[in-house]
Amino acid sequence: MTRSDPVDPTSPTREAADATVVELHHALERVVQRACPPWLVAHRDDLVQAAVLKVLAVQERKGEGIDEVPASYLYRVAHSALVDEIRRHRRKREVALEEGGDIVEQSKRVRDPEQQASSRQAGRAIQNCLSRLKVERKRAVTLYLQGSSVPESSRILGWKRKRTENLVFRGLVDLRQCLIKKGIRS
Amino acid sequence: MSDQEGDPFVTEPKDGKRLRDAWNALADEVDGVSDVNDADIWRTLASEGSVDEREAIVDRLALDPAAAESWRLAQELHRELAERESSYRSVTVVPLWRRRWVAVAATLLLAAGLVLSMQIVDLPSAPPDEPVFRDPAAVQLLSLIPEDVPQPQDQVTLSWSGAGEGVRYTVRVLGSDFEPLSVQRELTATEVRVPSERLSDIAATERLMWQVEARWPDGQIATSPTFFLYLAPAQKTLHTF
Repeated sequence: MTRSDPVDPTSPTREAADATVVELHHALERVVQRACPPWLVAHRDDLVQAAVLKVLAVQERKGEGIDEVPASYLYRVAHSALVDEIRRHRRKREVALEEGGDIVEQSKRVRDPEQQASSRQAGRAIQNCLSRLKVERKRAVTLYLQGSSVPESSRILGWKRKRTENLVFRGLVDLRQCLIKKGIRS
Repeated sequence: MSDQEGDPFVTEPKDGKRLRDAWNALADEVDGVSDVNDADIWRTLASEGSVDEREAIVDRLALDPAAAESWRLAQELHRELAERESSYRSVTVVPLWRRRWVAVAATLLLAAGLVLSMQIVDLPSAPPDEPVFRDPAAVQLLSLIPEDVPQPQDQVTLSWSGAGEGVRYTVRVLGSDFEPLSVQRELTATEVRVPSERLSDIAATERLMWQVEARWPDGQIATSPTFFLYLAPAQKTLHTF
């Protein structure tokens, strides 16, 4: 549907489109709840709304109703939109941090800056230690840190579950040893 | 997350969350720019492409916090999608026993019909309005064009494995930024030529995506995985004097 082509709000097509938008909105809310950075908590609703609008805009340009395309396509567009939005907020935040604006206060409320800095330091150490792991352990631990389950990692890397589990376990042991050498206890 | 993939770990290490939080915090250190394409991340999460390609993306996650953040979001969306599809499937797929029952009933009806038609010639022979039970998830729509061979810009023809008689196909071609370049609907053949004017502004190095959707007369739909294609650089036309 396009803007110049109004649709009867009570029509079945419109209802299906509305239902699709609502479903996508709820899915994005859950995704943002689980995966967006802590400092963006206050902007979660904005993020979801902006991402849904971007998906709708893509569909409008395409001249197709949102209910006419496969869900897998919509979710991919939503992913791209969400990533763009988070990056836009991050840039805005950096400017605000430089200028000492309100966002600084918001980020302070969300998390102690000292704790944040120490977390990032640990993050850099993890990144460095990861680069020293044997390649397969590194892949297994990377996906573990990314929140992938053993079955998900097995599927992505084409490994058996038991093997994946072993590689994650051994990789984490190596990672902890490396972190201790750097003075960081996990 | 699907049932098979729901168990993150048999035993979650005590420091698991702390390690992940520290790892995720790295994303705030970068300007958000990543050289890993969102489409590649999506494709890897769907286990598409070769294992080598997937490993290469996982290796990039270890180095590129912006890509890692994009992956985490895509992963959650994938889980939502899998959850959605499994709940739809559980509603639409008819249990095997019922399908068998329908088959038995249909056979009995057919046999009875044959007997009756032999005895009463004038009986109207309207076909029973039996629903066709099909599991769209079991239908595999596969690309029949090699992904690694660039297609000439003015002769891009896409072809795919058919899904049976009476099926209409919709083929969508998207740019690497998900921008739709061409949508062709109500196709009955299993190949289609992409209008060259739709591809005229596309660089030869850009990777395009395409997808087929099959729609049966009873309204059921199956979609293919996303396939990729490259365009060959345009041939220079030689003019003779």
